[in-house]
Amino acid sequence: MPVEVVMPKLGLTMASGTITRWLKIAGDEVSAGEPLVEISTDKITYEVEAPASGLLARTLGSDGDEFVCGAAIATIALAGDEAAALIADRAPDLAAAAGFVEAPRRPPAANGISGPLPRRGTRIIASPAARRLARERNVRLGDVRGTGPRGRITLSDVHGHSAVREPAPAAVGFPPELAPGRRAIFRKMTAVGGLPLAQVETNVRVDAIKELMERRGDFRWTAFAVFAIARLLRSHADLRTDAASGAPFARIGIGVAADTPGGLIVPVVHDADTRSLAEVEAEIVRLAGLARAGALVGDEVAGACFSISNVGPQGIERVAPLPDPPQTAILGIGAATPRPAVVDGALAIAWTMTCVLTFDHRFIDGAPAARFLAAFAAACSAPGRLL
Amino acid sequence: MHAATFSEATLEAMREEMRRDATVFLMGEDIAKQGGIFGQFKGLPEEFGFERVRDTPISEAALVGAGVGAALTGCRPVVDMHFADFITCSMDELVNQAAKLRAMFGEQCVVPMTLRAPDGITKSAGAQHSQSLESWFVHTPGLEVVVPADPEDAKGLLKAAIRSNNPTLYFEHKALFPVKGMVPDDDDFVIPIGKAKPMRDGADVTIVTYGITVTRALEAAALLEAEGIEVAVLNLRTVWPLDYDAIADAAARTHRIVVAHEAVRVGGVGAEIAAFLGEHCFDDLDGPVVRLGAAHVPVPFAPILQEAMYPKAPAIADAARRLARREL
Repeated sequence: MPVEVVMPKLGLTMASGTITRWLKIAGDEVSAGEPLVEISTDKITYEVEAPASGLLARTLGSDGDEFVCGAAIATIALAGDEAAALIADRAPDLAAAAGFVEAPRRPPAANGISGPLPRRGTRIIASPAARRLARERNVRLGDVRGTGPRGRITLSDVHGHSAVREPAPAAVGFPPELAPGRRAIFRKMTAVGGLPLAQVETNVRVDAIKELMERRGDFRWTAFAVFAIARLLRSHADLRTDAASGAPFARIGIGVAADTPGGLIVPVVHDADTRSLAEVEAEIVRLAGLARAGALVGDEVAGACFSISNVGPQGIERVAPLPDPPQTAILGIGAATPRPAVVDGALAIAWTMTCVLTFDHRFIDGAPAARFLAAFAAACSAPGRLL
Repeated sequence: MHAATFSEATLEAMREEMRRDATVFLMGEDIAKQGGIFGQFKGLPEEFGFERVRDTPISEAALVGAGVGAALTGCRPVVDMHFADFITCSMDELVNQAAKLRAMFGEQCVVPMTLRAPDGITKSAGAQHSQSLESWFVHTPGLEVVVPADPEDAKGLLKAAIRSNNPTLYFEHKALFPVKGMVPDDDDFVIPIGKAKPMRDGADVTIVTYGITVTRALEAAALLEAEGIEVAVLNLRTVWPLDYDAIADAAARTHRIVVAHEAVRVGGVGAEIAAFLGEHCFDDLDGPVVRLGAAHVPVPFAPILQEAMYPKAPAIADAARRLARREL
């Protein structure tokens, strides 16, 4: 029996994936575990491996085509299978080679007659012209609501979608020289550009954290921030509003901005409110290692309700990062360092760090944001209460 | 420009070409004495004599065979089929001889013969006198096939057919003969074979059609205009060689295509056009190519059945409307 290769579901929130590049073509011999095709989600790229050894009988879709998770994208014929029968889409080529097909009067369209008819019900149904327009405008077909028969996405659906989501046509396309790895960030930051963002900022006393850190030796600044914020977000539900639904995210996952050779990536510490401080530290270390190797997949980069960005390791005083929609708030953390401070009415030296909370004012008001930041400051000056 | 019926326009074309070129002559059944059943040959024997306007016995095989021979030896015969349905009696002469000789003899000879073939459904003429058979000849390499839609086409395409060095079938719909229209005065008004004519512009759907169905498509477009749907109509004029560029341009402009003809839908010219669009204009299409044609049955004699079996303006409008509203 032939084996089907399907678009993998790499995370809870992944609905569809896009073929980036076929690494094998129909007719190739493939071995189990060998990379077949590179796919991308809006967060990561991933290589789908052959689930079995055999002949790659057919591949569905070409670069830029989007498939829902679970949809067949290729078929591998095993020894004994009639591979030739599966390679149905080769027939036109054979006819052309035999000279039965008149030479085209016009150059054939780029995706002309390659690819068999997709199975109904799995692939996103869209008219050819709508697919082309979506490619040109970098609109994800999975985001467009089809209004044609059987829910087919037509030209006007793509036009309507990009008119609503992309106010400035110039903002739609990627700059031609943009590295593919920056596309997700480019798209997100373009979307953030139009949001009404507001900020609250404070200096936080952190002597107590420093003392605890030196005594225990099993966590660092970022881990403490994730740990404290996750617990505070249980009661400060406003700060974990989901912009897509307008209601709070149910689970508390905290995104931690990380710099990697491939650019910014934001791995997520899931259920951070239920983990101990040491467990949070261990998870951050694990995710950071994967991030540097470019090996994060699926849920490891999805599902956060709030994010932080810590520029302390670079010794920078202050950072005001932008929220990552559909999250509605993000905390920027500057370097913790000894600074002049007024302690008990006298000038003294204290360890402090500057925290900037940026939030989407459509969902979050200044007062709850200020209360949240004050609660975080209090947790930093008296960490024992949370432990 | 002057007003003329379709029938008069063909007569003008005959007269002008016979005056212009002494090798042009006409033969057929009941054309000289009777003047043609639609009056389309009236006055020609008086001007050109019975040598150049010849009545023949009822034998299509002999008629087309003689036409091929005359064409091979330097004449430009115009052979009238009386009814297009009777071409079947001369298939060998037409398909195995006329269509092949130029290629088989390495261009040493040409067959500049015009075959006039009145076709189409009209007035319960029955299954043997109502067919539209153009797609058979589109499928036969070596022939040209033109299908005029109005008096202007009638004159310009007939003159082009006569001047062409290839055997050319001229399918003239019987119901068009009395139709009036404007015709250019120029004696050298010749419509290039292989070029389509946009009849009206519109952004939502293009109806690609030819022959009498052009009129029906224009009626459909007028119906839809009142509903706010903009329909373009492309008159192919020639069905071989097809104007593929014009068809591709239509797909690029409106993204939705209806192909309509009176010939049977199955295996018709519309099938070739739909296949071309699928192969070469795939990315331009926003909906399926809709083909309209006659039902795959012998044309019924019963008037009610006859009128129900081929696409008229309401059916064409319905298809274009559903395509424009993205219901198809």
